[in-house]
Amino acid sequence: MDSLQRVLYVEDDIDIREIALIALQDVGGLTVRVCESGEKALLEVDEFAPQLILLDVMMPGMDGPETLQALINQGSVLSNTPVVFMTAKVHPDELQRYHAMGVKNVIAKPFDPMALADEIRAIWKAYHV
Amino acid sequence: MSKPTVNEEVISRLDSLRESYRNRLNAELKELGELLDTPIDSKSDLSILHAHLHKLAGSAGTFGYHQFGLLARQYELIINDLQSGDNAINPISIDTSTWLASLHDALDKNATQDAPSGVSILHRHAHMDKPHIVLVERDAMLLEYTAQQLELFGFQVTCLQDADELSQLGSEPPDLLLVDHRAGDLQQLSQQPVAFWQHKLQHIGCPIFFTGGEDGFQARLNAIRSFGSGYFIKPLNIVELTTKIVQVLNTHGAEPERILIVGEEQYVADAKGAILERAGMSIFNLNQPANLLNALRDFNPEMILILHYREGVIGTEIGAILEQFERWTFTPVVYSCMNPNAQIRQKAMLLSNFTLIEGAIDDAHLVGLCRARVQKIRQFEASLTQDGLTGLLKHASIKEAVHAQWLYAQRNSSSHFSLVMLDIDHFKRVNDTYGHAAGDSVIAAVGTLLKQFFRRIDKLGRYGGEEFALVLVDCSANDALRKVEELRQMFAKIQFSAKDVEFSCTLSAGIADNATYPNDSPQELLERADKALYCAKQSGRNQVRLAEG
Repeated sequence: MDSLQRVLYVEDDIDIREIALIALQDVGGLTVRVCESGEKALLEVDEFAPQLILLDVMMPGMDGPETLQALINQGSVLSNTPVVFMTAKVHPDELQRYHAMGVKNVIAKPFDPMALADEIRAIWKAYHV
Repeated sequence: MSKPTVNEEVISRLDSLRESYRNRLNAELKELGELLDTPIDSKSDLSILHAHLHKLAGSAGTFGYHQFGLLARQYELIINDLQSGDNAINPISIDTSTWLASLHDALDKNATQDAPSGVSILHRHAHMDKPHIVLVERDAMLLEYTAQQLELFGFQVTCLQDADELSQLGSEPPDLLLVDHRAGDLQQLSQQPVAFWQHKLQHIGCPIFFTGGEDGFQARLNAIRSFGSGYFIKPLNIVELTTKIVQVLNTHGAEPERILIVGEEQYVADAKGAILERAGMSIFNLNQPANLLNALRDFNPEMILILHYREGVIGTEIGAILEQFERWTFTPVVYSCMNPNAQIRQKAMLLSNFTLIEGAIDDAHLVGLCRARVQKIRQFEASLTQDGLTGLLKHASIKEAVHAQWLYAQRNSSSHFSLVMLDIDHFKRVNDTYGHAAGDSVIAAVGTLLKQFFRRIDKLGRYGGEEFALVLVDCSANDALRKVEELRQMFAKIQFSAKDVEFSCTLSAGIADNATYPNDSPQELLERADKALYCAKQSGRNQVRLAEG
């Protein structure tokens, strides 16, 4: 089993981007490519070849689910690529919608910067046992 | 895969991010203020407001501004309700005039109370010996709130939002699992809740409590069938919950149960004894029933297990003998008998605390039975010396404990101890404002917190109504001061609720130690600690004082 190294992270809020970057890179030792919008992610995803994709749900322009759909459509997300949504709202209805898109994992906002990388790794591990 | 440890540089970068986020919050609040000042008269106004609050609610906690984030979430939900309602928007229907001030308040409070989240996590790792609770709750907000409250009671909490995540737990089982009974695949849960949970929980090696919104027979039955040993109704009463958790955790890994075995055949008795010993119990094998009384005195058992019966002596007869002694009349007796006749059955039923098992008994069942019986008798014995509300020692028993500790210290000059008198501030006001039930839950919370907070060797008692006395063994006055001060701060953060109103309480305490006052009698030491408590009260309450002079 390969270990998790490359994470693509899409988030519009600059402060959240920064703290998540520290959480994933400095605390968690992961390699992270950060994109500030779904459009940007569509352009950069193939070159970076992420092992896991982390998407903020609520973004201006393309939101998280739309970004995922576009990534799938252009063939950048394979069926075995774990995708994780980050959202402040985890309503049951919404979860159902995510599940229908094949997204099983949601990280609740606000997240704990010291635990974020562990959470991501745990999700990765669950895909690879 | 090497994982870098969190170094100071990261901490300081987090701190500076936190600072800059704080500046941004000031700007956001200003903007929010303008939004709130103008009347809301269209759907789009509402959605702008909602977007603002949503953003704050989702981010503030990450930077350590938890209180602020939770409040923003509350407001977000109110706006959300308005948005989803079909009614024409009535701007008067919500009073937002206090929102801005409350948010500012929460921010200020946060700045003084909460450590940056990074630091608090490090702190948490330093206390790995704390009981570990895994919390599974679908509602992210409730999850965070409950975890916070449990942490205040000294538990280490891991948060999960879905039963699926249980598989990610390490091999080391937690001390307790607290599960929202709907935190899983909703479709499966609506059809086969019991089967779902049985599958998820079958390998969990710890006690399981369920939580849920329904208070009904079916919900409780489902919980029991899903291996749950408790069911708690939402909104959770944290005090009641933690009391129960402490009870359960204390019976786990407590002292070994002392079981006296009276066996007909040596090898059967040896075999059963070995099984119980492997389960961590302490065994005394009695070959000669005639020596029963000596064995009772020497071994002081908590339960007696009679295997079959010896020629001439029947299990029920042993039970009848025990009932004649006041000391043993409550001691549980389990009698395993292959083919009891009608007479034995009848006699067994008439004896109290007597259990007759017909036929062979399964090993696991035997262990469970002994454990349950001993637990019951321990609860009963504890109830004689313990205060019912708090589970602490009663007045007479704690005074006795003070005296005993003092005597011990007289004989061992190196042994020192600190005496703490502790009192809930303005308790009468709590009773008058929120009712006696709320007052009781505050007292119970102090009891639970004390038990969680201090060591087993310390003696903790409820001295009077809202007053508590503690004997901290091998603890200098300064150590006691530090410890009780920490306790005071934790207690102040606990949220109580009564009739939908939330409130918090504070403590005052006075400390006197035997090393500083070697010539004091136990009574004088108590008075000295009480005087220090009085000083703490006089100087404005919510503080801890050492005895002076």
